[in-house]
Amino acid sequence: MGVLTIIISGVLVGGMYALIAIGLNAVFGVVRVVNFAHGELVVLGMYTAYFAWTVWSVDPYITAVLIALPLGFLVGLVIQRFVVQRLLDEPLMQMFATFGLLMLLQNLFLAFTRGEPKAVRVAASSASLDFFGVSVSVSRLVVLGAAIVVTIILVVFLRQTLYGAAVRAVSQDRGTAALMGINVKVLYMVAFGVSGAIALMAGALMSPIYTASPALGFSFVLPAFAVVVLGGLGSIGGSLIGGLIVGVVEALSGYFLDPALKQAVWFTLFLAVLVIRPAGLFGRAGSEEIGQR
Amino acid sequence: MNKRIPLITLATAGVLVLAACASSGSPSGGSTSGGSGSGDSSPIKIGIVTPLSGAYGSEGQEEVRGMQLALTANGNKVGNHPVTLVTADGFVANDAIAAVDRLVSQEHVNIITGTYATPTSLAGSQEAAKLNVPWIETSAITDSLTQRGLDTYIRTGARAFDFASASADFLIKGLGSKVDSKSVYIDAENGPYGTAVEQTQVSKLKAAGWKVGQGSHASAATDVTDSVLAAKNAKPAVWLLTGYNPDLTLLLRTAAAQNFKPQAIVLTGAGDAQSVYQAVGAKDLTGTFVVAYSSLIESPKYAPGMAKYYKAYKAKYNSEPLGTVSATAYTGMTAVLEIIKAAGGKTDTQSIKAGSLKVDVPLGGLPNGWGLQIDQQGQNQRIELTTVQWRSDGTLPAVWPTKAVKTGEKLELK
Repeated sequence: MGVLTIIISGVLVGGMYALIAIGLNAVFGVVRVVNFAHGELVVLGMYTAYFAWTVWSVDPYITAVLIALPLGFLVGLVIQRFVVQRLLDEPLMQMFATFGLLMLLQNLFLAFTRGEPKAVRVAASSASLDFFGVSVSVSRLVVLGAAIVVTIILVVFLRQTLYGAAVRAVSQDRGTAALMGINVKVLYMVAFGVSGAIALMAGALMSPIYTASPALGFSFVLPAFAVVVLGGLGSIGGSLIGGLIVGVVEALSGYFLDPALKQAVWFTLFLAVLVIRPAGLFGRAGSEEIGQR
Repeated sequence: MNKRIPLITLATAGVLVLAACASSGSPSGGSTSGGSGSGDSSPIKIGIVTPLSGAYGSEGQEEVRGMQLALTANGNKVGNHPVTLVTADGFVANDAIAAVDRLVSQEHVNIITGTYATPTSLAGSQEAAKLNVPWIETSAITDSLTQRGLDTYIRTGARAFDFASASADFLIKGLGSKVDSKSVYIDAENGPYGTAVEQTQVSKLKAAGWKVGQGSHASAATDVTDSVLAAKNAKPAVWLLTGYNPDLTLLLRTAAAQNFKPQAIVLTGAGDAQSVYQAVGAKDLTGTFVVAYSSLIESPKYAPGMAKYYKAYKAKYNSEPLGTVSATAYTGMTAVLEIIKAAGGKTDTQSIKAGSLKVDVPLGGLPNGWGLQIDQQGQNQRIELTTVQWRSDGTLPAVWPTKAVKTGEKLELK
């Protein structure tokens, strides 16, 4: 029973990593920007849910869809338009800029909350389902469900629509795509918008599980980076599966080895994938080197 | 021209930078030499070095608030000397060193205090020692701070050891007779702070005949089901946890989800914030014990200055204090003034050291119920931490030691 409980908890945590990684991968895989501030966008989603819950008594799950999604899209657009776009040909400067954004957001959270942790407590916070004698958290199950739904929507969008084809074209060769008439700047803004929308939605969905605090983003974005590399750069489906793998590996190593070794184990996995298959488990070979032509 | 960017390099760099940032620290925890003598009324400047920005900026600001309130309560003077405070922001080592340099060279502070954070205290006090300026620490708790042989360093506040001892004593003398078996499972965050606390708890409890199981968790863990299941499998009467508010919250929530209900849950050093009550909920938190700094609901005879502090805080800032940081700083500044008084108003390092060894405030003499007796290492030996217990209405009355318990309150298992 203990092992089943651990595997289920790993899958559920993996769902969270996956949802965050999918947003990260949308920018990483398309715009080719390492967005250090992605974790802070997740935290912004948590604060948004807290604000809506305390001020308007809005359930965080409603906030996730009706407020966090559009707000996140807008925030993503603004970041791309006013920060990243000016540095499109300066990858190192982009890294510094997003790191600066991370610090800016953290300190804004600090200024507005005095660093006080903010918790949202709704019925789902403590609700659980019985699965063959194992208690399964409803709030975590919702996040896993959201990760699966978002993955399906994005995969269908990328493969079945003309706009999706344009996204894939830009992610492979920005210069040629522009020559073919694709408006690269608009597409990049949309990619950042989608990434921001997913991040804020993830934060709102996770608000009944975690207590929001200014520095919480680190805890999630670190494994999310590993998930992106593991699953494959630009591979949305890879992010989902990579998230689940990291979640389960982390849970099992914590239970059977030592909780202190959890991160070490998935970092080892991360490094092994980097060395053996740099494109990740589901990324196209060479995608890790496709640049800004 | 093709410009190939090794994105995998960026990704790796990203992860490594974030990893470095994530582990960049967590809290654990003036000046011209030679001041004025007792016969004059020359002003004394006290520098406060504490994190005023960044992740622990709010705590640092609370620290300053508490110290300002204590100084106001003492008429902004010690003896005949008017006292002013000067603040400086510092968390990481370089910031703390720069803050000390500025306070000494530009502000000409006589004494430095603070700090809330061990990295600040560690680096800042070394720099102050070089400049021959006394450092009186009030709130950083890492044990080793007073084990460095630094003659200019004095700590009036608690150590991690004090929290460990107080929690073990609470189990041995307070809970031992109330639980069905003397079995405890100890789980601490796996950083230096938690590990040090756990070691002391284990040795004390084993020596007292308790059956002890051990585990650990990362303070930044996103899931602690493994730790909770390990504790649940051990079937202890008491679950003793050490960590910070976010990880303790996650442990308590996970325990509730996994239906793990030991007879008593005891939290060490954190877990007394209202955010914990809000996150865990009254149903699952009621009855949980917290070994902490002074409670606002305790016998006024035990902590004579807490009511005055609380009233002053509410009046000046029109808000509730953020946890117990400012209350501890209030007590800390009171202790700093006592030491200066004992030094005859002199603020050079030798006089402060000599004064600190002379000062003799009995337990109950400081606002939060502590006393003040500094040993040769510079550590206050008269610290008595209290144990509070969550009630269903979100209040936290003191339930241990007995003399701290307010009339009408009592220690009871859930």
